[in-house]
Amino acid sequence: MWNWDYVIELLPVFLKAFPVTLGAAFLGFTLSIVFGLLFALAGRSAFWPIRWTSRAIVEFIRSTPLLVQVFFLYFSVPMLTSFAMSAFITGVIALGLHYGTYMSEVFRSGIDAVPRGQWEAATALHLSKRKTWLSVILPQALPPVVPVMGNYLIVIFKETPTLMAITLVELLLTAKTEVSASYRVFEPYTIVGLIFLVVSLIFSIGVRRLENRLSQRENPGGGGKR
Amino acid sequence: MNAQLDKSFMTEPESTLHIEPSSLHAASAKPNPIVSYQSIQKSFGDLHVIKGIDLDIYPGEKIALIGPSGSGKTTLGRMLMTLEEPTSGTILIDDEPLWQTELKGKRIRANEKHLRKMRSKVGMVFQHFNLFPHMSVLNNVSMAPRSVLKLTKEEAEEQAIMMLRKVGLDQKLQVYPSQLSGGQKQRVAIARALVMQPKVMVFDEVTSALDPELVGEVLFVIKEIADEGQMAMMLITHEMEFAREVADRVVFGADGLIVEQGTPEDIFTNPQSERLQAFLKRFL
Amino acid sequence: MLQLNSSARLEMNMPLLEWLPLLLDGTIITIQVALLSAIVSLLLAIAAGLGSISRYVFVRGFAKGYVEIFRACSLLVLLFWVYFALPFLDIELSKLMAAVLAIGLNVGAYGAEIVRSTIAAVSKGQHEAGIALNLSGNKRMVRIILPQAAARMIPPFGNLMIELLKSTSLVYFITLSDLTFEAMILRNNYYIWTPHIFGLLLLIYFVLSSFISVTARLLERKLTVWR
Repeated sequence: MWNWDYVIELLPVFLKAFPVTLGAAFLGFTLSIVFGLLFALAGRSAFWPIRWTSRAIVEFIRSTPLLVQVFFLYFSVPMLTSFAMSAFITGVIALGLHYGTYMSEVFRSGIDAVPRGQWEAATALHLSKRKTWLSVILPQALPPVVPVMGNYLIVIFKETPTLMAITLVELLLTAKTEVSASYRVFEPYTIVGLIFLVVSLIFSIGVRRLENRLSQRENPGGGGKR
Repeated sequence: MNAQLDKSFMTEPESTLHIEPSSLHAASAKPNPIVSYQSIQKSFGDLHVIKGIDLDIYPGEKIALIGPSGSGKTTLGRMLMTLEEPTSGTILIDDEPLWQTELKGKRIRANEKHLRKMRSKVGMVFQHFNLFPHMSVLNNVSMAPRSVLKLTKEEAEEQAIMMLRKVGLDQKLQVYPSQLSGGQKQRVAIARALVMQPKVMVFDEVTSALDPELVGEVLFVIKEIADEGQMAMMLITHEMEFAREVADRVVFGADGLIVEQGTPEDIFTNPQSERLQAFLKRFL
Repeated sequence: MLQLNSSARLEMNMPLLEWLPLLLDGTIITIQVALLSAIVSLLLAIAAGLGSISRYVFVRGFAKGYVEIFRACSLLVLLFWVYFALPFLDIELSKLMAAVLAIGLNVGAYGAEIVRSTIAAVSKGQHEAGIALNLSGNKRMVRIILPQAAARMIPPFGNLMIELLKSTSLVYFITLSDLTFEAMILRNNYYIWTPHIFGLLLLIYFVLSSFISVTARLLERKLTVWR
């Protein structure tokens, strides 16, 4: 029932789709860091309308499914703005926005873990707000949360198959196409499952190493567990 | 049956049926010790905490363990409560090995069943109280009598309330530990341990985590219990005045060994070893 | 049903009443999938969470293996595998059963970590007090450790249940007629209303999520009266 010849036939096909999956994951991850920082900073703004709006947006995005957000961006935005994006770009933006809200929470915990004295010292040195953030707070807030960010890279990677809904030809859609061509179901889906499993496990070993290295380097600071 | 016996005792706390412990071991016919540590050693990894200790505690005797921190006092108490296992040596409770049991004529490491049987004779009060935060004061004290001694709810609560009255907290039955002061928490913890009627009770630095102004109320309660007489007590403490007042015998340990022991008079007014003299100098 | 004159149509009111029956059906299916997979995942979380601190090496290994593998799995791929590939091993599940199994297995692995870590977070002193009172190992766990761990579990489990609700939208891919699926049908029939339909869909999910977080908050308050 398991046909090795067919498996060998499949491998190059999956090899072509793999970069799409990885690319969407890495770009989505990068974008989620950008959005995450924006949300985290806006969420601490001294101007309350910005603070509240940012928090409301984060709450709303976190409470609704990625799939529906993907649909909304892909099908509705062109109708509302006459501005159309490719499936890949839409997917990356959706991943970035969705996980940006989680990332903002990670950054918030990192920023909260920076001792108050650091802010006071920056004030005492008459540093500008920009300077305080860039050279005092963020350099201390970010390193401890790197492993948690790494965990989100894994989560984002595992979520990329959702993008098949807008016909992004990633691994799972490739498998589905193969299935409907060959009528052999077991091999393609099993292989895709194994690819995700193995890559995720490799990533998570990397994250754990990073975690150990950081915890050996004195106190690891605050990073939520996930 | 156990409960029956103790109830009769509790209704007449002034009863003098019990022989005074000091007269007990002054007499030539010494009873068997309730607890006997025999060449006990204990290591945590590379750290050799207890380096060979022999110590007998007699029924009803109050022993104060004093000494610098890190001398292994607490470990000695924790071993009796089965919270630590000795690396070598034997602990006997009522002439029965605590950590070993016999199986088909062979001595083997004690199983949980044996440990539970032995534990019923020992109680402990902790430095950090370890009250159950999710239970009311009454439940903290009555839960073990119900689920271990198999008393009914009414019996267990009756006994619990009696113990709480003894420590002066029977007005706080339905209160949660988070609403109590440190001294009150420790008094509840004492009631919780007492209600199980142990033959020997370990008090592990029970005032060390308290604010200075709360120490007195806890020591007062312990003193009252000590004066009742029938339960052996192992007081691990830094309160020298208290040790002197309550203990029948004071044991001074340092670096995992017993350096000197004797009556409070001997130890505090006529210390022999230089170690003890130096130690006492820091307190007096 | 294709609308040629879209500008004329847009001036009309949104035909919300025509959508309601379908959206209601979808909501019921979504809640059904969510509740069933919540039950499966909670049972798995408790079993694997307790299993990973078992004294038996075999049980521990099994529990940890489950957690590692299903956390590393992509849920959508797992769902495809359970629904499309398993029949080839002569295991044929209905759409609902496949969805509940896949989501339950996936979310249960995350839940097991919550159970394990909150139990580990109860202080050692609580175990020791239980020993000093001569409680049996089981009683120590059930009466002392678990009630305290449970209080800590509620907030992370609330978040996890929101994740679970969101993940039910993936059953759309195996054509189980949940909210998302029904919304896609509506979109085919009322094409020009696409943004409204998806907006409404997001709103319904938001309301359902909010219901979960409110429930979690109430439950936490109830379980922590002693704090």
